Amino acid sequence: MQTAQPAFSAADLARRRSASRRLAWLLAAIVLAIYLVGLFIKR
Amino acid sequence: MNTASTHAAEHHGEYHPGGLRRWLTTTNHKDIGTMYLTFSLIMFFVGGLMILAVRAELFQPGLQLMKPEFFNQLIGVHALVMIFAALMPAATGFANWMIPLMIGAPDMALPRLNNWGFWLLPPAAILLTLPFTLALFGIGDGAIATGWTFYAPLSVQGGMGVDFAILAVHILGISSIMGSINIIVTIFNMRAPGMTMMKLPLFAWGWLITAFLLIATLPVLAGAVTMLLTDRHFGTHFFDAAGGGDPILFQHLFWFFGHPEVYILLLPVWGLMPHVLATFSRKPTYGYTAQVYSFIAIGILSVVVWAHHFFTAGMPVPALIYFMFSTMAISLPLAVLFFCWIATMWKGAMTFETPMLFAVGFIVLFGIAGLTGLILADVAADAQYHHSYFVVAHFHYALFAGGIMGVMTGVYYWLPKWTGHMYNETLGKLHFWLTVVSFNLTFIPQFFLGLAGMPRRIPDYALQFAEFNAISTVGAFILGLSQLLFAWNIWSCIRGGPKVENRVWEGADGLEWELSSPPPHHSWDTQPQVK
Repeated sequence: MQTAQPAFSAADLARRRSASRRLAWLLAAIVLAIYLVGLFIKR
Repeated sequence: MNTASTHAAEHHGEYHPGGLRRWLTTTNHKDIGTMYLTFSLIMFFVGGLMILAVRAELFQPGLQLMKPEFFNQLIGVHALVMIFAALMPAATGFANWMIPLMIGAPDMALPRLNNWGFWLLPPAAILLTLPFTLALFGIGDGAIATGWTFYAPLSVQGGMGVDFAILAVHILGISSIMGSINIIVTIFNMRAPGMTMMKLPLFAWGWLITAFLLIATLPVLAGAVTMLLTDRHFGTHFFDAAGGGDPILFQHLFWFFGHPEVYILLLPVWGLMPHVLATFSRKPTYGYTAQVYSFIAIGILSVVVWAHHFFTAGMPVPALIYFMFSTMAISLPLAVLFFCWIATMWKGAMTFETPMLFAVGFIVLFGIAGLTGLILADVAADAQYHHSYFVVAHFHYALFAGGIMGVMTGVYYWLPKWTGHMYNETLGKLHFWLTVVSFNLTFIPQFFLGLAGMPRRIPDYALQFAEFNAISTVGAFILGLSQLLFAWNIWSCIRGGPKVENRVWEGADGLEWELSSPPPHHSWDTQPQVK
């Protein structure tokens, strides 16, 4: 299924981690938005 | 151990702190996975002891051992501990350990967030259980006594234990959201080259859907319990009818989280099952694509069916019909999963090592949960069975047979990979048979109790229910004691045992089996190439 290749390069790893941080902040903002909308629910 | 992995382990080994500092500061996905799983096992026994006290009280009619108030506290905290502190952390532990290994990632994408996510759990667990201790010293009136559902107005009027539970649930929720965000971004951004989404292991797919469900629903629970807190202490009336609020609103908000929570607990297990079944059937997984789409369909349906948990609270007939049929619709993708699991075994060269025994036991017993769930989804039938022991038996078939036995499947399947040692197979099989027999001894009588009309959450009952309750209690104690075999087997395996190969199981397939057993401290220093 696999063959040995060079490890993730430092630049590649940094790019992947940077993309992960951006997506993480977006998801956190969505969580916060859902939470805050919940507080304004009226019956 | 292959040469590259050995080199990586030795090369990085000298930089690791030892002792307590290692565990407090670690950002390694395997260390954090181990901490999640250890925490989960401890809390499993804490929650188990609570319910054994409850079953002891129910052994005979009449009040034997405790006051009704304490009985209610034990039931509520048992559920909160088992759901939030045992099952969810176990699944997160699996994710931490296995997802990077399975997708060829060197670690989780956000390792520090990972550490923080775990270390929020112990304080939350202390908050949940502390009120019991405080009550011993005359402080407060014990833990939350509303059941795990926090239903208003009871929870608005309850004692200090409700505040502790509200704060604990906030912290547990933050921890779960951190874990979910980390898992999503890891799966999206850290896959090895060639690992397309449709080559992603089904365990990772199951967790991906789980993580999105957590992100969509946990903030709703957090919002609901924050409103509860403000109702209790800051003069709001969200759920107080006397002030213009609506207690039913709380039920909607709670179950908007609560029903997906069932799938949050089960989807990681459903993702794990195809791996185990394929391994011990020595066949490829049947219906990979169908299973992926079933996971997605179940994820979507799970957030639109919540009101079946309170049909009897009162709602318009069109709403009843909608929630009944949408709930029943979940059985369609679930049936696809069952057929795929069975088809994976079909005509396979099956052997029945402990993980396979647990997997097959899971399919049979979780099937009972599904079938009894269909009965409860029927509005007319639910009018009779709601709030009875039938419901208690049903959700234990879902969450013990479906959830905890699924976790046990995963532990036996992956423990040799994690430790490098084989567990005691005879003890594992004994654990399986004792668990299955005693589980059924505990919960089959509860179906009959529910059908006969015994309500749940009562410390005393009519004489006609005595025999089935006695049988159920005997079963529960055997079930509880047999879990000591599980703990002992894990401990023995960690301490030593026969060494295992990289590919622990003959039929196992996937990147994780290419690494050494145990894997090197830094996974995939040599990047795998998926073909």
